[in-house]
Amino acid sequence: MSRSVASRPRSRRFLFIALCVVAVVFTGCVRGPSSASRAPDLRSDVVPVSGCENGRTDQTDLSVGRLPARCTAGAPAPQPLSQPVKLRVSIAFRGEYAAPVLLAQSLGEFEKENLSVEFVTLPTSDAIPQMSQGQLDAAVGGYDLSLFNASRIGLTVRAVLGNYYPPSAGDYSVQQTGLWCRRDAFTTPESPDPTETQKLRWGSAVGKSSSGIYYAIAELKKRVPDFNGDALAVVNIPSSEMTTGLKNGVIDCAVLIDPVWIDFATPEYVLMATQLPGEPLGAVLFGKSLLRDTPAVGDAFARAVIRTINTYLSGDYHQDPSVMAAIATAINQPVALLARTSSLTMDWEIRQDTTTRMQQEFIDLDVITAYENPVPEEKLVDRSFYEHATGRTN
Amino acid sequence: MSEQTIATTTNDVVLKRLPGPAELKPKSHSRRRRTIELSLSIGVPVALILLWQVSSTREWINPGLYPSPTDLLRRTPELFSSNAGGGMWGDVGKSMYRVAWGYFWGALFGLVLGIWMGMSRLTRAALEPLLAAMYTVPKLALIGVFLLILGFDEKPVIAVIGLTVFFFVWIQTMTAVMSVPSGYRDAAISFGATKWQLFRQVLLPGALPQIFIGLRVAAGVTVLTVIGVEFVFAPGNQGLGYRINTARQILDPGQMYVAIVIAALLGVLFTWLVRRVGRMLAPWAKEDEG
Amino acid sequence: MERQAVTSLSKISLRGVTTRFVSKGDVVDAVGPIDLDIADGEFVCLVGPSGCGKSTVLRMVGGLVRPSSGEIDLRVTDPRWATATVFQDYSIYPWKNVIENVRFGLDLAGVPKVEGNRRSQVYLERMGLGDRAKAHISELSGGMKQRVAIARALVVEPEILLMDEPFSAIDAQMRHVLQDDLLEMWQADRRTVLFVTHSIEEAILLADRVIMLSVRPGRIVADRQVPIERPRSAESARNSKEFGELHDELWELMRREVQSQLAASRSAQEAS
Repeated sequence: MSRSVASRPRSRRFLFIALCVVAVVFTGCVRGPSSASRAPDLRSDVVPVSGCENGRTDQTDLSVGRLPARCTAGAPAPQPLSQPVKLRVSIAFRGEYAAPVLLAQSLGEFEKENLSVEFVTLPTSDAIPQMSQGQLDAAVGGYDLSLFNASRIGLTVRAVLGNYYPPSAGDYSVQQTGLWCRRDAFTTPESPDPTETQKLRWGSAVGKSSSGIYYAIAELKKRVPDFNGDALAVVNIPSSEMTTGLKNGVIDCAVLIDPVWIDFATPEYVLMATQLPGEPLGAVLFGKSLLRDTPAVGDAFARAVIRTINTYLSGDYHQDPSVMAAIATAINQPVALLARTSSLTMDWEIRQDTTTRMQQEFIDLDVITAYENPVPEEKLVDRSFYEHATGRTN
Repeated sequence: MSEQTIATTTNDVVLKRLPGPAELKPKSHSRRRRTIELSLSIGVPVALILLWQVSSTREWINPGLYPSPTDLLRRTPELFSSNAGGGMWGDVGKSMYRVAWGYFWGALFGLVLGIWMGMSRLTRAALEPLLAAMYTVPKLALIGVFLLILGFDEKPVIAVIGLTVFFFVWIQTMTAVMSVPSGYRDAAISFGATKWQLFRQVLLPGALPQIFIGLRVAAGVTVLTVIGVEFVFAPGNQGLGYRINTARQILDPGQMYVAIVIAALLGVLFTWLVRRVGRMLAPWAKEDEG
Repeated sequence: MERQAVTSLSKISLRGVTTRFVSKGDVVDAVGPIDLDIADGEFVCLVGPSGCGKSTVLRMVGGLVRPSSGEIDLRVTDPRWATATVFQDYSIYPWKNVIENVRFGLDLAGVPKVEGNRRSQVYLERMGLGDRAKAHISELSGGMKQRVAIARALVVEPEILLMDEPFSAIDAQMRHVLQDDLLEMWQADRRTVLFVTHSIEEAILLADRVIMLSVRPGRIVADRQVPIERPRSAESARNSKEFGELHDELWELMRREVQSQLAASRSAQEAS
């Protein structure tokens, strides 16, 4: 009896310590919901909304220069929630694309719904797991592989509102965001042949999985039907070095966004592909809390954002100094810089099959290898929120 | 002898030193202790893996975000046979290439400069303050500078890795050469050794065990650094670090964990290799050296 | 004080040798001035309190250190093998095995390996390590390592053997054994030996002549012939009357030197 007393407690102690370590590690992995439960407002049925008689377009329309859905200013009217609700929303980075959501907070439209929104800056791929675990309510960013993979691994995330498209997308007489190339990389610099873009070196921070590369290829395919994306040489360059790489000849083409492309709107460079006409390639995503737990709150959020677009961000809002000032403050950019680009077309609608087309292209390019067929739209998109807000389902 | 017992004061206590369980049954006790230690070394990692497996399959944690070990095993052959971007083989190959070349150049310069500065007071005085200051600069932060100077191919990657390895190897080598006991030098000089003979016959073998410690530490650091650099910049879009980072960005945790495990294995393998070479070249070194 | 007759035919001769070094900006006289002549075939022991500089004198004769002033002459036939040294901490190399260590001096001189091995084996036999030629150094005890060091020094057949407290780091029993071995070997080839030790007993036992240095700066304070006959055995030497007398005399001298050193440092402390 006494001989084992000395050795037994020691091995027991080891076991105890090991269990404690395991328990700590374990609790770190499992997270509970962060927000206290909210008293749920019930979600109403879709009813017509005054002011939004033209608040819907044909979701399959992708023509150049098409007009977005719009309601009158101030519509849809607020329907404040019975109790104040605080939301946590991420944006991928501070840019004009996020103006509808940012201004909804700073100009008081969320407040009218009894909502208040706290913003964080987070890449979409980090936002999605947080949304699925309830630590984040919504995210604003581009469509990318993280969204498609999210549904595949069973996370509850949906795109519920579109963000924007450039009004002149598809119109090559207008300088804008898109694929910019060095003229002297072409055999005939005065009139560059789009077919040759296949042989040039494109720069990308994330290989062929960037949405910029996606739309550039999709646009070029309209003029070069047998565009071979597989053979395309994409050079890995960190985003911070992209413009340097383009200037130094390390790469021949790069996707340049507002306002970066402005420095390249010179005779040495040429715009070879714009964004896709009439098709937002980004969205507001909702997580589990707004999709399943409290959809009425989601509806309030959608109403506020849509109302902001209709009231402040409709038409050529760059001509409105107070709106420009509000945007400049929200995204921390000087008004002068903002004024060098043209107004974006904010669009809360989601085009039919945007996600399907994007996945198919990625599958064809071998960017997506984990599955062969695109995840269907109903698993990625939920139009009910803007349908409730505008009172239009078709 | 008188019958009377010698009285001791009742305040005294007798302190006994007796054999304990280890002493009474030394053989079985030591066998038992070895068994416990062995079972813990194997048992704890196995238990953690089992816990992970169970938590994932039973969905105590989200299996989409935290795939179980069996999920990872199942995913591995598919990742390796994939052709897209060279698949996992391409990533492993590229990372190994960077590890090998970065280590080679860094170790080469580290050894040369370490030996030279260890032997020459003048060189030490000239270069040590400079090198000591540069030692603490995080080399990863210099990747941007190197990209500009050397271009957007493998060269800046090899340079950053080589630089990191260089500093580890240089400082260990220099100290090793300087710490060769003066008695060894005296003996050689007293027998008429030339400078070259002193170096080859005494300083080099004398410093070898500690030099290998430096080489071994540098080996582990190399793999870490390669992964880190590939997070920022991976020429050809290949590399384990690139794979880990990309998999995280597109929300493919399965791919990410597989790449992490392979990177860890690469590190272990490489360090083990350097250690083996060290034992071969310096067999006289004590167990925890070289 | 007896003095050896000054002769230009001395094997080793020191004239006005001093050692000085710079410490904390001050110049410190460590040794000297020393004038000393050692004849060919003499076994001389250098003793003295710690810090007196006896090892420094040895290192100067061996060429490891240069004198700050004065001159040391060694009269030899082959300058290459003028001296060989046995060190206190053995300084044999763990990456070489026993016979490679013994061969070391010959290797450095370019002697072919086969020849070197042959000669080394002879000396290993003489040191009683004949069967350990291929052993690793890590397998040897302290006493064995020192024997390897002695073999290494002897194999090059130096005209002068320098030994710097070679037995200090060895336990008492082994020390006696090694002293006996050394006596026996030296009595066979009668090389010139300069042996530094802190043990007066060891000095008298081994040497023809014992020289004592004072405390720093070390100067010669005693130079005695050892009156015990050769060939000697350690046993009989220790028990002889002459041993006891010389021992007591030198011991007393050493004690006074050490006391004066203590007194000097105490007064230096009080002054500061």
